[in-house]
Amino acid sequence: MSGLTRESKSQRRSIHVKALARVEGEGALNLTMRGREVEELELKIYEPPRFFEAFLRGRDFREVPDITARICGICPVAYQMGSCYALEKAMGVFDQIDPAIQTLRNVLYCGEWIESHLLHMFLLHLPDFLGFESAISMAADHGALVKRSLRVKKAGNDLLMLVAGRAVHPVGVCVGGFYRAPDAAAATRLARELRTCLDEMCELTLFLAEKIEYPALERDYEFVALCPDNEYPMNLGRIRSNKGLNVDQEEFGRAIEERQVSHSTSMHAFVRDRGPYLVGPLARLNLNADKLLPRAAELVPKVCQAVGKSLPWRNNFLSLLARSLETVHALELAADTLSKYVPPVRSRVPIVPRAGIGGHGTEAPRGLCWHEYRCDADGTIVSARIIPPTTQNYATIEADLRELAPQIVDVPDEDATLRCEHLIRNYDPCISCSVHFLKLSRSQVG
Amino acid sequence: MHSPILIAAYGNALAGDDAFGPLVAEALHAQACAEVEVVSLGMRPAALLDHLADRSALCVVDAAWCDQQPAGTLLEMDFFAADRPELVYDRALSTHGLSVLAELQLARQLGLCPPQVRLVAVVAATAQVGCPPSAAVRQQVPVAVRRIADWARHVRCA
Repeated sequence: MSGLTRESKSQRRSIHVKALARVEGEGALNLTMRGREVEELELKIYEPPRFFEAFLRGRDFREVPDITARICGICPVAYQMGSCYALEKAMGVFDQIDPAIQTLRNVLYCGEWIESHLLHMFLLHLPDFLGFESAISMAADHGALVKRSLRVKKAGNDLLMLVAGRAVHPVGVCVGGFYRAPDAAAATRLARELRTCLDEMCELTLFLAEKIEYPALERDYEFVALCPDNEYPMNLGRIRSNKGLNVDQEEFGRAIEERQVSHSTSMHAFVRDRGPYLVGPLARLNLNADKLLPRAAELVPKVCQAVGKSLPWRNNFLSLLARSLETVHALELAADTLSKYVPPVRSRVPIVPRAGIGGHGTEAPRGLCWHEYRCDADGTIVSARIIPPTTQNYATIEADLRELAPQIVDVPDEDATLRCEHLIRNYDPCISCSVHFLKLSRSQVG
Repeated sequence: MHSPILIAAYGNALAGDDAFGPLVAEALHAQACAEVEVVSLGMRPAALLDHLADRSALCVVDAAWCDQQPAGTLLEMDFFAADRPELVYDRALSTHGLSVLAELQLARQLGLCPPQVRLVAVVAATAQVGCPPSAAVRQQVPVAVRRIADWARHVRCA
């Protein structure tokens, strides 16, 4: 749903998108321009806040991964992993998590990246680039392409089911590891399908690089992502940026500042004393491209040549290609791991509750998802803080729209609206995850 | 190897009459049948495409909004029938905007849609979170299970 009004072509022009389509959750856009100047721009998030941090208080720490998984149906693993690691720090067992459990966590995350990235790239965002209203109309002309993408997406769901019991809101994850390790025979079977999907995905990535024209919109972003020393980021690593941010996981909550804005039920985040920043696949790729596994690494120069840009890319429309390269990486990592998988000696580390605090972020498909929990001596949650990736990107999305606005002054109304929506969809925003703006500072009354 | 017949149930078990789909799925699971696969997709219509390959028939189970019929009325019809009432998940936005209808339209474009798509739905009075399903809707669960089993038998024999 959208509308557009003009007082006079050279004077005041307003674009109103009342309900953003092909994004998760409910949001709207109001853009008013006078000539080439932006007079007012609001990415309005009107979905009601969900109060997850408030109702985690008073719960046992073991319940947290199953509760936070409900924040999102597309990226539940991100919320489970962030809460598990943060609580393992609070309970003093973070350094005792077995390497085999860490490996399984990475494989689980691969499933989420594959499923989420494919849904976004081929069903929600590609119609923008190819000039279709939806995946349904796109499928009439590109049926084979959509079918291939659906096969890869299904492999991601199968991976989630194998490692954590089911594809949506997995039930196999617990603080300390997993309730049960996957079956070896099932892992071997799935590894074969993942290899096939890996070949498919390499071809799909080249299609996206070679056949699509990406709009030009370069900005000087501050890219923020996990930066582990020896692997492409998923679960571990310091948090760094291209502009000097370099903090331990626990410090991140103090390194950034969240602000309420009147037009949104989601907060906006800024690097403290600096400004908006960008999290997500483009940030991860720009900061960690040298850590991609071989099949994705081989594709990077071909993709860069096709789009005429070497890394780092400063155009977030190219995040589609970053997602695609990450999917190749995830398929290779999962296939390699499962093909030599041996069930671990133990699937989880035993935990004795204690009082403590822990903060940790992992890389959700849409970017860094950071959690912090304080527990009392019996493991009851005293406070919780969750910073989802989409929250961190809102201010940057608005800045992108300000940059785009002069380009659409002379564009016909319908196309101008579509280009704004297209830009927002670049971020694969997960609005439902991000709405929790009310910070309840008082827990006792009377 | 997939079962040729798929039953896909939708609904939020915690949201009043919207629990109809999950309740029917639970009852059907108890009557395991080799040629029928039952999946409970909850509030996630977008998952349907993953289950459609190589099926000869699909039955969608959901709750429906219908002013012309009293709550608890059981509806059975072709999913694509022109007079089909609106389903709770026709307008679902929680999975990036892909509804049951959108999934099936996409499946048709891709040649993945089974030749037969049946709808079994109950007319809902409320889908308010926190409310139990109404007695009228609960009473229809065993009726729906019997009718779906009969339909599946008929499809297998056809």
